[in-house]
Amino acid sequence: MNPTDETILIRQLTQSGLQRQAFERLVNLYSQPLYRQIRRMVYSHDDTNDILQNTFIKAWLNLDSFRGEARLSTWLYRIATNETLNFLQRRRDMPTLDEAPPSVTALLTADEYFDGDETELQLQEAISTLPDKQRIVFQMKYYEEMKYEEMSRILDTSVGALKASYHHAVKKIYEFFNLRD
Amino acid sequence: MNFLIYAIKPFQALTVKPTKNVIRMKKEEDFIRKNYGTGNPFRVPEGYFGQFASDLMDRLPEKETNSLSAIMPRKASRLRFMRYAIAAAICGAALLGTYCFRHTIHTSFDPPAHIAAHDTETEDFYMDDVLDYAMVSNHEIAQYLTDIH
Repeated sequence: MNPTDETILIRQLTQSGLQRQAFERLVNLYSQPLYRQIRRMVYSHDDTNDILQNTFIKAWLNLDSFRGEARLSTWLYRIATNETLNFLQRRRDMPTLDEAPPSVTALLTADEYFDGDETELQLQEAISTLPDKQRIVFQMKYYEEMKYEEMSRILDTSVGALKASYHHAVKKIYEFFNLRD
Repeated sequence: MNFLIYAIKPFQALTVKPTKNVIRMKKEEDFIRKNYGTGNPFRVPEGYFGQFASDLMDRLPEKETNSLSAIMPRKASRLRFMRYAIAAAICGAALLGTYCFRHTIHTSFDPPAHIAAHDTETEDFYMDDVLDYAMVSNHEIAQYLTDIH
């Protein structure tokens, strides 16, 4: 979205008469990129749908706290990232009867909304070995080609730390494949 | 033309050359990209995003106050409340003061007629001031004093 459109949208979001209409536009603009980012972290479509809904409901309820200092996309990505990390933490804390959780390959193979081939399955398996925050950094850079400065604003982490995190992630994934071969 | 080359030369050292680590990382990244791609293998149900937006908009709670214009009346009503509270406190203080003042005069001594007349005038003058200040109507205060007697 260009800066002028963003300014107009922000202004409409603060006007009570136009707020709902402007928010619907915001949802239409950002639901797809946010969905992709969340889905790559949690894998399941249903979980992604829940997190995405919570993200937008939180954004709606906290619209007054948005002061226009950050871009709308940065603000939404930040909410989505926090919601995703909280979800993953809750899922880990939840007691399960199974001894070990199913592997990512098993999860994705059973998922009717996963179209990936064998190589994509392997890549997802490799990415799943990374810690959550490093995984987010990797996804943002590798798939979305997001700039470090933008990531820094979303994740509230320095550019240097993000670069180091991405380098570590790439190295680990590379080694994962090398060990397999 | 030569002087331009000499002018730029000191700054050439400042250009960042990729380190060994960065070069290695680039190689590893290229390997992953080439062999495993960057495609999006995750699908969504048909018409999901259109449906998502309309479902979400139906679920959004109504917001009572979410703009500056909506916040203003709340501030104004708080100010109005404070104004009434202060006025009520002043009225209370004035009535209590009046009661104490009259009670002291009547119980301490019975003044002679000329002093009593003067006192009544002073009292009336004082009372008018108090009533003006407290914004209590003459009728209300007269009723209050009648009740006391």
